[in-house]
Formats: sequence, structure tokens, C-alpha cells
Amino acid sequence: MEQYDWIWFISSGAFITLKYSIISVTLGMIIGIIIALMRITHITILRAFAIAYVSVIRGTPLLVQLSLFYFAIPAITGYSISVFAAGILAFSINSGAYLSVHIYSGINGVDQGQVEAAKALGIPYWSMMRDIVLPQAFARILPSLVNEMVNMVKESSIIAILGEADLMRRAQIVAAEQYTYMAPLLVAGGCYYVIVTILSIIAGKIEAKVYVKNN
Amino acid sequence: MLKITNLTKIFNGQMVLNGINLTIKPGEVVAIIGPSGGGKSTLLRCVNGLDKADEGEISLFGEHRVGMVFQQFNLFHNMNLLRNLVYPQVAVLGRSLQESEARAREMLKVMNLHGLEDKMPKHLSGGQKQRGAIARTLCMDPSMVLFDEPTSALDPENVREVLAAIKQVAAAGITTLLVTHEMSFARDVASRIIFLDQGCVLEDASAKQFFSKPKAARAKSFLENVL
Repeated sequence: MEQYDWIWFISSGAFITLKYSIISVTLGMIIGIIIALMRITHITILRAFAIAYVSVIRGTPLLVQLSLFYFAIPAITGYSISVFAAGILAFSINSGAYLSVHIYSGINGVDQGQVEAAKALGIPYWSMMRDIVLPQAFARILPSLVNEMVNMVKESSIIAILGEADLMRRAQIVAAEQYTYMAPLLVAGGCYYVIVTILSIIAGKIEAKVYVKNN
Repeated sequence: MLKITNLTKIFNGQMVLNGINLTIKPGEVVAIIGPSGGGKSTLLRCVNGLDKADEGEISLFGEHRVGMVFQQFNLFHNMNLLRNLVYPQVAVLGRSLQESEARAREMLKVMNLHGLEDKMPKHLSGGQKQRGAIARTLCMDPSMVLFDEPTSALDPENVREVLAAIKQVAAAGITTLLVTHEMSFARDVASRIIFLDQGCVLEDASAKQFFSKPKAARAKSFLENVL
């Protein structure tokens, strides 16, 4: 039995991976909504910031962003940052940029008549956004949101370079101990696959529910 | 009372409204007619602030709330019919949920829509949607309602029920501004006709006088073509 302990050791890295993904996607969603709302305002400086933010984040590798947060910024400011904080910061900011693009296009896709009706009724801007525009936008872009979530689960594997014991890092540790790469990496890959598949099934259920509600 | 003074609106260098002056008294039922592109819808949209006037002034004296009914109904897609009527009352008037719901059910009954409370807008006919939109507006207790071509997007068999609903609004003493291409309805329901072409009021007369003896030559030829 003991000779299979390493499988459990690697698999339990899934919790680390999930921890990073769930927190980052949640924060990323909040950032994404804020950036998308900045993008649609008529206030030039906010729009410019939103456009620049998305452009820079999408135009540079996540690995560079993560390294900046973990190595470069602490070196300049003198503050030290934990692997966890650096990871969450980099991942949230990264997924926020990608999510904002989808949310922005979702908002743009909402029928202008919905906004005019809300205005004509006197519904305040933020209520209109929260209760009418964003729900309709999200219903439209649900598949792309799930896609971004799946990406986050997979991309979070680069946290292993900072020594965090996620799926990928644990596979590397086992590989180094046992002088074989095939089995540990297959186990890690299998875990990623299971997580992503479960996520897709849940997303499919939610999509079906939204579809039923809207149709 | 609605008082419009020298209202001017320019879209892309084109003068859509050219110095409009109008006074609408409380309870009046006014049909705004004229050829497409004459500025009718823009006039309505300026009254409730959906479009901003480039020049001139719009003053509402004692009109505490202005409702609007759109050509495309614009019920909220993500809410069922009942919620469409309840939500604005809660969000804008601060009414309690129970009070809003009672009011909504009452208006649905008036608009002959009871039994459809749980239906999403997608599942309603055009006529049902438009009556729902009228009910939604009435729930807000408006003193004035603007109708922007309310029957233009409807199948012919749905037009009559919506016209009946508009007539109910007018009969309730609510100031009614109606942009329409339904001439016989305008003659039937409106007390006053405003003929708008190329951004100008070419004629402003009682319905009776307008349809029997239009003064403006442009109105005369328009009527000859549509009647």
C-alpha cells in the first residue's frame, strides 16, 4: 500500500490548485466587472486606464507578471510578499483582464432598448447595471467565462516555480525522488483533467438552467 | 403642464428638430403625426431626457412622472412579466414588495394579462408585450405617458388590443403624447394633432379640424397619401 502513497501526495495538490483558481477567478471576476464598467463610461481617463490595463496584461506572459510581483516589486519596495499573495495578485489581475474583455462585449451585446426603458422608468444607473444589464450580459457570455475559469485552473500550475506545492510541483518532487517522470506527470495531468471536466459539467448545468430561465 | 420652448436637436449636422414651441395641458391627448424622419420620435425622446436638446428648453410643471412606451416594448428580458412590473416600483419609488406586487397584479388585470405573470417576455406575443409595457409604465403612477410608435412593430392582429389599451390610458385622464402612423386611431383618440415635418411643427390643431380641413399644404398632401 505504501508504495502508492505518492499518488495521494500528488492528488492532494489539487486542493492547492483549486484554492488558487477559485480565489483568483472570484477576484478576477470583480476586477473584470470593474474594468468593463470603466471601459463603457464616458470618462476618458477611466476608459484609457481600462484599455491600457487589458492591453498590457494580455500582451505579457503570466510568468513575467508573477515574477514581477514576487521578485521585482518586493526588491524595489523592500516589502516581502508571500508566494500565496503574489500568486493570487498575479492570477487575479491576469484573469481580470481576460474576463473584462468578455464582460465588456457581453454588456455591449445587451439590447440598447433595455437601457432606454430603464432610464425612462427612472431606474438608477447602478441598479440598472446590477439587475438588468449585467445579468443579461452574463447570460450571453457564460461559455467564455467558463473557458477563462478552465484556463485559470491550468495556468495556475506556474505557481510551482515559486515552490508552492500544487499539483505540478508535487509531481516534480515525486519525479525527482523516483527518477521517473511518466507516472507522476500522468497523475498530475489526470487530476487537472478531472477538475476541468467537473468544472465543465457544473458549467453545463448552470448554462442549461440559465437557458431554461431565459427561454 | 409641458412647455417646450425653441427646442432644437441636431444629429450629425442635420437639424432634426428646428425650434419647436409647444404647450401641452394636463390631461390632453395629443397625437404627433407626420412623415418618417420628421422628428416625431426625437421630440418624445427629448421630453423624457433620452435625447439631450441642443438648444431650447423643456419644462414640466406639475407633471410629477413621465412614462414612456417604446415601439420595441423593451420589457426586461431577464425578468418575468410580474417582475417587470414590480422591479421599477421597488427600485424607483421605494415601494414595498407586497405593495408593488399588488399594484402590478391590478395593472395586469386592467391590461387583460392575468395568468401570464410568470411568463418571460420571450414567450409573450407582441401585443401582450406592449400591453405589459403599458402596465409597467402605469404602475409608476405617471401623470404623462409618451407613446413612441407603440403599434409599429406589431402583427396586424395585435394592433387593436394595444390601441384599446392606449385608449384606456387616455381615458384615465393621463396626459398622452402619441407618435403614431395609425391615422384613424389618432383621429379617434386624440383631441389635438401636431403635424411635424423636417423638424418643424407645420400644423397644430384640433383633431376634427386637422382631418377635415388641414391648413398646411404639406399636411394636406400627407393626409391624401395615407388616408
